[in-house]
Amino acid sequence: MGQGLDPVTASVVEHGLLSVTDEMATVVVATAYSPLVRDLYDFTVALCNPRGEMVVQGVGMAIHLGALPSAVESILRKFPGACMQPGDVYIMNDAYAGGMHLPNVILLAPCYASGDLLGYAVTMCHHTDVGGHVPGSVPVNSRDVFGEGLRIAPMRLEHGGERDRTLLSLIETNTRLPRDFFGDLESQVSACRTAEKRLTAIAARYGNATILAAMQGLLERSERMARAEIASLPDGDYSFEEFLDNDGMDGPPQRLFVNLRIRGEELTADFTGTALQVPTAINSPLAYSRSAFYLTVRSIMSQEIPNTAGFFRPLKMVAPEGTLINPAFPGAVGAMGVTGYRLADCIYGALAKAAPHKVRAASEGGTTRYTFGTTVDGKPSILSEALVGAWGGHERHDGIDGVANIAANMANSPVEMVESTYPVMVEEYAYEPDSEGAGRRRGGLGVRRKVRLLAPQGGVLQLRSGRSKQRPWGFAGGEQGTSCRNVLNPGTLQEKALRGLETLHVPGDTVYLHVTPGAGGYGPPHEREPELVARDVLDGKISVKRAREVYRVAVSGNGVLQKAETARLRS
Amino acid sequence: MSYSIGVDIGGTFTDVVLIEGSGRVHVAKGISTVRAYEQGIFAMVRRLLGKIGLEAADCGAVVHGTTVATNAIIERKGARTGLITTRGFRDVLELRRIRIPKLYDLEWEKPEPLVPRFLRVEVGERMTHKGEVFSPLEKDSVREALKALRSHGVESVAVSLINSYANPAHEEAVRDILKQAAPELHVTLSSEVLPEMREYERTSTTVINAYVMPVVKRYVASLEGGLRGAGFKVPLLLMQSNGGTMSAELACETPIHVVESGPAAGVIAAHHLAARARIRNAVALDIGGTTAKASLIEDGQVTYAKEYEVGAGFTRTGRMSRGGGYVLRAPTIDIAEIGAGGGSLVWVDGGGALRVGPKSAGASPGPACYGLDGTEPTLTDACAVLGYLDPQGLAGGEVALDLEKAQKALQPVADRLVMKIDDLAHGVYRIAVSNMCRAIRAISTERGKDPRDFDLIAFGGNGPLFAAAVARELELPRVIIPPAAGIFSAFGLLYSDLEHHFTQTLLGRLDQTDPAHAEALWRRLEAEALCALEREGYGRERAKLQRFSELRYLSQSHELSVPWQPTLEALAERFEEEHERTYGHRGHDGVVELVNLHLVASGSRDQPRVPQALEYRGRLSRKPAQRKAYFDGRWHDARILTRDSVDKLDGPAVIHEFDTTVLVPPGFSAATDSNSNLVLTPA
Repeated sequence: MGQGLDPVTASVVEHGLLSVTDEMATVVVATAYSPLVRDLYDFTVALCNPRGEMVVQGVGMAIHLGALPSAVESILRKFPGACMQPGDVYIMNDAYAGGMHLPNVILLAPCYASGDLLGYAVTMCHHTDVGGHVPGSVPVNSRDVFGEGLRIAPMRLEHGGERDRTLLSLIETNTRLPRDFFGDLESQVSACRTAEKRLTAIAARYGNATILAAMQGLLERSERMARAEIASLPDGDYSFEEFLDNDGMDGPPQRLFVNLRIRGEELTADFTGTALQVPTAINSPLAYSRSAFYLTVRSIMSQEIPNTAGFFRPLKMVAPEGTLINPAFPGAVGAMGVTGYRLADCIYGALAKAAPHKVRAASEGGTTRYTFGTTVDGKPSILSEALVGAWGGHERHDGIDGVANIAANMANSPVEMVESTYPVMVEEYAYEPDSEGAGRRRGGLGVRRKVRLLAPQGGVLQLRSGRSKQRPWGFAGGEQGTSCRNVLNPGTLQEKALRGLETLHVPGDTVYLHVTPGAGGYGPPHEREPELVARDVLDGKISVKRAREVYRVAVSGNGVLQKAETARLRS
Repeated sequence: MSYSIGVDIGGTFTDVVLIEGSGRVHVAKGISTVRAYEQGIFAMVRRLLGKIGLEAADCGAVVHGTTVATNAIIERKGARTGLITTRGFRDVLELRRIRIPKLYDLEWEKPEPLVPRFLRVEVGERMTHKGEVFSPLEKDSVREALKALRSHGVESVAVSLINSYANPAHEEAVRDILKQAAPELHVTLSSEVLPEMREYERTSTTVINAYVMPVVKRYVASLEGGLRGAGFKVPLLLMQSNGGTMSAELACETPIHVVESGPAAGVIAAHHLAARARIRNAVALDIGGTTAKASLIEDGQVTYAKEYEVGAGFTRTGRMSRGGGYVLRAPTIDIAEIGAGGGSLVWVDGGGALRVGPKSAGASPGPACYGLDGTEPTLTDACAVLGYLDPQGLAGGEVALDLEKAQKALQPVADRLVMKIDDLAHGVYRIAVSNMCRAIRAISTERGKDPRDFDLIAFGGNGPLFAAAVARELELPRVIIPPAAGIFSAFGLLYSDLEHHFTQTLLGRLDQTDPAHAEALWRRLEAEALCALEREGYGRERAKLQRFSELRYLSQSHELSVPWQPTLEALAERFEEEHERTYGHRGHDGVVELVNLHLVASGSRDQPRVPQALEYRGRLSRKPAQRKAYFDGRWHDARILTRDSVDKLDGPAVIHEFDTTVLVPPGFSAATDSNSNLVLTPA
């Protein structure tokens, strides 16, 4: 327990620190203005020690948490902690200063107790719009980062409690939705202030030294536990490749490649062999790619490991500059999600060889984000939805139908909230039957969302989705899931299949259908218990035909298992 | 001579409290008869009446705190339930809000929906968000749906259509068709139980209502029938999750209101105690065998939550960790629960850290020192080793205490961590305390309230054992331990008033709201409330109506509840103050939105059910003695006594009672107040 702190005091203070991030998250959700933050939870909170190391990963999105350290580092490089003062708040979003895509705006506030620096409170919210050429600022067709919105280098937003009006004014003129932006920003500032208040209270009770020692203890414990986990995996090289559907436009599939080198208690991910960066927006900034690496490895470890920067320590990464996963300035990164999520799948593919009992078959391949930008009563209106998802089969568990991607624990947007806020009508939100990757433990089903875009003057529909062609892999004999589909005006004369990445103007009353991929299966489908197949048929999740042809199980239309016929099919 | 009975059912014990008009209190404690709770209740009540010599016919009130609805959900033993929904939205219930409760948890499994997919059927219809009919209800599709559900033997049906919060017409039409064709079906409409936006939360709540309704109806019928058969004449009252009582008859229609019936009773008891002792701000802390539950009494008022998850588990009280249970949106006393109780297991995690809970040895096999079948170390075993528990046994000797078994169970953990066993036991105790503090933080600091402004009212079998340490950790100024702390919750049943909540949505910017229109809506709500109270036998003169409003800044989605004010300007200011106090800032442009009018209607009795002065003889009496007890790193000579012999003393001391043990650590002093409460204060 580092620094000679007794285990009990350490545990007590750790609980206190965990409460701090819980409370930060509560403040963000309760006070944010945008549906993306308040309903979809597209935000993250964390606490760092005075050296900037993350000591509590709070509630949030795994794929942001591992990226925050780069942002914190970048802020602290420009504004060393020793030069900060109470009441300061720092802001940044620049992809090329340790950030992610531009809507992810990071705030950092130093926290003090009796004049001493205790650490930093950090929050990140995905803001709905930070300018650029596409409403929603998640463009897929930008050629460089300059076209994607306002880039904010690490800057001081508040100095000794005084807001920088110039900076605010600059932001205000560069976003389509200033009110949402400032509402969300206030929630971030308040969350940071709340963290400082709580830390100060803990410090008053236990002393600053104890808090710092507890932070150190957390880091060391998670490092120790992570090392032990890695040591328990067989030494070796485990490689895997994935292909992105294309280069973001009409180009050929792009290769993601990883070789995981496990040696003793360290694990190195070498991405040499991954495709070069592309002239579209699907490049994934290094911080984001690194986060995909951290989160995949962390998720096959014990839940008991404290979620701190400590578990990053035995993880090394080799990512050549100028590739898809470490683009050189000023490569565009607006649709980084496509690559980041797939990178996670790719690493899972390699991990599955080292730890087959712990990994799931491929998920749906990441959150689909579509945005619909138009104007209502002369004011910009931007609907931004996140659609998921399914988990793959696992040695001991079926996949999960309808669930957040492990990398991005977001919520869906309530249909009724969407309809009352935006000029759209949702016509369907349901599972896609027969989309699962078949297996002894089947993959999760894909999800359908059909939306009628009502705005009479039409608007800009922007799609960011993956796995339109490259389907989620199964493993240990399990099958692939289905691919993703994007369709305009399905079932009409105007029906039109779309690519996974699109920016297009649509007329009023256009219907957009998105179907997420089904996840991969685990183990041979004909080994699946017939009762489970019959249950899925009864539930209308799998058709009678598919049960018979793929699982070799005979089931009647009302879900009754025909045992003799099944035995014949399987013999 | 009239008297009242409170019956509180817990997972392990059933507590019955009988209070005579004279103030004499009788209690009985028995093992819950899990298969048929009502049988155990009848037996205990009959025995108690026989012992005292009272007639059932003279009973003035029977109030019951029940876990029947919660258990039906957690154990998945509710009715076979169907769901009728709008075409295209069959999977809203199972898709939930998509999130999972923990980071990085690849082995998480989603809770099975209470209504499986084959029992979720769609009908043709559509309302817009403005409540306009977009496509009319296809009545044939309803008949088809009914046919499908009946073929699967469905007993109860939930109806939840998209945008029905804005116009219930289609749901009502569906009900009419169902009722006409199948009058025996139990039907729940989402527009009746929760006319609010957000289809998942509304559907989930509606489904829970439908799912437990037949179970609650059968239970109530059996319980009422049995009581009537035994000669009781008064109607049965049930405790609601919001702390008010409700006639059992009404509870059968909206059973979602009795899901947290049990835990609510303890908070009501604490609220009553606080009022009598003139305490404005208090934390009610109820620690039993498996969990610690904390709730806030602020400015003399119980605090409420609008939504919670049933069966979410209690590994983390953090309110952000959503997705583990079944969402129920109904007013409930805001209680945070954490897996820390006497039975909590002691273990060492993979990183070598000492842990306590959240798993519990429960009543069976129980802590090692109870000498049942338990061999794994628990928190109670640590307390035994520390000299906190009566070596002569608990509950007046009914449960024996085997100190050796406690030591034997803890020794391997001590060896692994290379600690002396008494240091380890004390570590276990402190970690448990810190877990319990998390429950309190969840309802205080996480809500922007400073726990130091609150006294601690501790009860439950284990509450008084940890109260002083919790108070010290969070710097709560005082600890109040009521008499009969171990069965305190049952008293709460008798203190509670009839209470109903009425909500009316009035969405719009506050600066554009017409005060006359709002007033008209209030009048209508109040008329409805008075009518409901009247039906339960409370006339206008005994009705108490309180107006609250739910507000937010325009564009937020979470509201704060503040008392209604004479003018809308005053209301806006009151909201902004509350927002600043809770979250630390005011909105940057100050545009406030009104969301709901919320009326709390309660009926007060002519005479309190419980007389002012109580006479409770369930006390232990024992000669004062001394025993070694371990505090703060060393053994102390602690005074051992019973409450009767406490006037004023300084710790260390251990006060043994029939149903609990009170710990007075060094640095605390204890005194008895005029209401027979023990008051502990740091020196």
